[in-house]
Amino acid sequence: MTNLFEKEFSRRAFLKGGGALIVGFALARVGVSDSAASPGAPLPISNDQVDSYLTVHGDNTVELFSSIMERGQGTRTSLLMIAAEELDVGMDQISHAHLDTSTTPYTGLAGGSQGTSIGGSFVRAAAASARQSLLGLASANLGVPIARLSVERGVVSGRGRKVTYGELIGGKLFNVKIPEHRQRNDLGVFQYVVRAGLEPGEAPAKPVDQYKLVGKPRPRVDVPGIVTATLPYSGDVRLPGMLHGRVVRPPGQSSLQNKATPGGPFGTNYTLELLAGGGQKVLSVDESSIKHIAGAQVVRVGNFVGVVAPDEWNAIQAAAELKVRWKTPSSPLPGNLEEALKAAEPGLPASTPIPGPVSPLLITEMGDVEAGLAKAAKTVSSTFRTSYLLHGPTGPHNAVAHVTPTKATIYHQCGPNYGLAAQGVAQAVGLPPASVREISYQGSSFYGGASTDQDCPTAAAVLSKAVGKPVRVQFMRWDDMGYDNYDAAEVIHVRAGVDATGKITAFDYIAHSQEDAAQPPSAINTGGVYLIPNRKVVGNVSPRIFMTAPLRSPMDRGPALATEQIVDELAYATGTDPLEFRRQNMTGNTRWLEVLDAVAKAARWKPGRAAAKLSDASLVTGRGFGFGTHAYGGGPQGPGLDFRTLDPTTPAAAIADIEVNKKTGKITVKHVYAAVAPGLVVNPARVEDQVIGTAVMGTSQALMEEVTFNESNVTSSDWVTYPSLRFKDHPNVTPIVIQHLDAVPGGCGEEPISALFPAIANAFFDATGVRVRQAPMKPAVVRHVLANASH
Amino acid sequence: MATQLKIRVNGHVHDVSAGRDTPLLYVLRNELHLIGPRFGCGLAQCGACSVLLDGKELRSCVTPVVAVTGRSITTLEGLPALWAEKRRRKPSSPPELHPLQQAWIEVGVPQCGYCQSGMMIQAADLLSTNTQPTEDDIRAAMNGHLCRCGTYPKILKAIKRAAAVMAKGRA
Repeated sequence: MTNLFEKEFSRRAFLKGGGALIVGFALARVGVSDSAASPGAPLPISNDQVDSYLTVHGDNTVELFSSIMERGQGTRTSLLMIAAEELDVGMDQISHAHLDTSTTPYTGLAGGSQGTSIGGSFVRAAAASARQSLLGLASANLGVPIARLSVERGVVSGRGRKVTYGELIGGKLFNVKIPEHRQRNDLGVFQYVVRAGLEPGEAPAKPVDQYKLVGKPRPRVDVPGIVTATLPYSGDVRLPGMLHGRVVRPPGQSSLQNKATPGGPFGTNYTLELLAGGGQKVLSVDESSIKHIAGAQVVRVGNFVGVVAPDEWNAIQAAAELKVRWKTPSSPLPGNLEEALKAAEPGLPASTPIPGPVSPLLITEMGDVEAGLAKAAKTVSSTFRTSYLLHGPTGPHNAVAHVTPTKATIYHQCGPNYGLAAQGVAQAVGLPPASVREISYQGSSFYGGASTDQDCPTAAAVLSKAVGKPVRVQFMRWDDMGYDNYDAAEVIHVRAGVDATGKITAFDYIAHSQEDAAQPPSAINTGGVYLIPNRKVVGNVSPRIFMTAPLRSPMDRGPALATEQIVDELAYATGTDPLEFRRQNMTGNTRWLEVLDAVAKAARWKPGRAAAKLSDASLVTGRGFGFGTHAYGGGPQGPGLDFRTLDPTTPAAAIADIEVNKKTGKITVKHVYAAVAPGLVVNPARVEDQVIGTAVMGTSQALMEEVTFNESNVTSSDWVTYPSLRFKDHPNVTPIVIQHLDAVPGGCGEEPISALFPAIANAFFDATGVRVRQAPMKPAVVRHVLANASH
Repeated sequence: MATQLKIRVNGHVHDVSAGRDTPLLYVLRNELHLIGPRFGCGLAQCGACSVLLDGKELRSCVTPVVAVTGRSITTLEGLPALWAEKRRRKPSSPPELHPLQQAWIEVGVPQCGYCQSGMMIQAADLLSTNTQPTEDDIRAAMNGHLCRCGTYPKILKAIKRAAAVMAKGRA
């Protein structure tokens, strides 16, 4: 152990440019000692050094440092596979170091379909450079030219001599820079950033045709620990002397508009204000109301109210029983969501803490939409609606914070933006960001981020600072549901036309939605799959009703639901099979054709016009198709741009087989066939898991998920008021993962969701001859559209 | 407030210092340091906290600890011993995993894994009374357990696999 600590000391001192750092952070199974923890600035570790990512130990094992948190997608296993492949070590010789802002470099987002694609390129570059460096050392050590050396399981051989990686560099630093890479920016194909990284096969990385691990199915390294209750989750962290805390606030948040204060939209400490009180001001707190509860103590900072107690159940009871008078919110939540969303907000002032795009945003414009519509033989026009959605992890967020006058340490499951929670904590407790250390554990996945994953550690830190002891906060179910930053609701108008030969002549798309996360509608999900001469896509920024944050496949559900239903309507109008109609209008991009053909084959699609076999029975069945992906369409784009070049984006296609009970209005999705073509697939078995998971989650969202609210606050606060798909009603899923070893890896954790929304809606039309143009397609909505169609 | 209750968990008797009305979940996690049962809703709606009480699935988040004294509680940590006991074998060291745990690993069920302890507990309850469950039996028995990652199809597969192994083990 001593050696390891000395090694770690030199590694970190080197990476952070020197300075005495105390290490020796010890991790027990369900207890953590932070007595020796040292503060680390968010993202303090150099990005261009091999030593930031890899440590080779004397026993010939390797430790990988990456900032990609495991969020249930097997990404950390995939990153180990990439590193092991490039280094030529066995999977049993490599492990991931704990994710800790004081030791871990930033390797991109664990979200946005980037964990493996971009995170993997950092890891690949580090491992390929390390291997080169090790071969150089081995050559000198063995007296054999590099060209004559081979490596297996971390043992370098040549001319009958052998030396291990551990013998070459165990206990020493590489001191080697890793290559840089030109990468397409998140926000558009025309912006590039230069960063550390290598794509698969890009020299000096290993040629793809020599892969032994990457591209083949592998079990996840963490599953045995999960199944035997030996892998500690964030909720299992306990510190000596720790108190349990809970936040006290009304049962659900009120309108974001209530948070406006004269000092700026959120006052001087918006991290805390966003967390506190649901926009409602505290009038009074009656501390005597909990004096009968052992050890319970009230903490109040502005409009933030919390309680702590040595015993967790006592803290829960104290939070429930504490009498707080709240000022009634002055701005009501909208009674008519559609009207509220369409009241477009002008461009937001530059001082707004959360940047928003200027409204309206032109996503793409080609040709002349009005002229194209005028030329059409047939036109269709419809309005589509989606609801606010919850992230909703099975386990609400939890965090332990230990705040002292000079530093803070937080233990929780970090979100996709590694180090971001530490910044919020720093602001809330008045410490410089460099004095807050964030240590991350696995936890319940929340499929997005930027909300409870920051609020919960902030609450724990504010409480810890007030009482001078470590505090653990477990958000309750209603904290999670009532105070999430939801995925934005949308209202979308589409007009489109088709000529007599079955070619789409025009497509006009206008969306209204909150876009706090700076994510305009995707240019691909809004007709970019098709060759349409006249096409215009516009996103309008709606007034902020709630704080919003991206939820797995953000800003894709509405666009796909609208676009792929409109395309189906055009196919129907021309009497064409929906798949054949798509084929004759597609851009010729082979990957999109490939996923279409793959699901059609798997589902044994029988060509024909939709809704050809309508029946009077109350229980009817139908089948529908949809395309979808996850891609941002923002950035400096203008008229005339064609988005066929927007690769690498992972195409997804889905076919849904559904059953509709016309009496009750209940839709049951019986089977989903879903295909993705993400380029190089590092671990096909785990991508299949993602297709299955997104098919089930997409079914749940499309059929039943919806944040509900009354005039004063959010009313969906548990699994009864916010239903989620249950076991009995889950679809069987046929996942299809198309491997392209020669292509750049794309995302795979989100794409089928948006394909499934229109697939279900199109299946509903096939079953009933009636269109359902909003999600969720709850029984009441279904009964309504069926009743309206029959008169 | 503190009581002199004793509870039997995974074959061992433990003294409890929590109050009588404290839900079992907090006793298991904070006093016994068991991490299988987890907090998901506190409302008996999701099943993340499930344990076996005399072999039947129970929501520990809403069950006062006083209600389970004198009875036998099993958490995920206790499934291997339960399997050994069923086959009237002495627990091996390290203990052989329960066929459900083994199937969960072989099928690769978990995604985030948060709900899976409760899922295996419920499945153990199911297989103790129905050794050859049909797909409909499994769907009905598991319906009270929520997974937000969408692992239901793989849970179904794993339960069938475990049932087949257990049937062989008994024969």
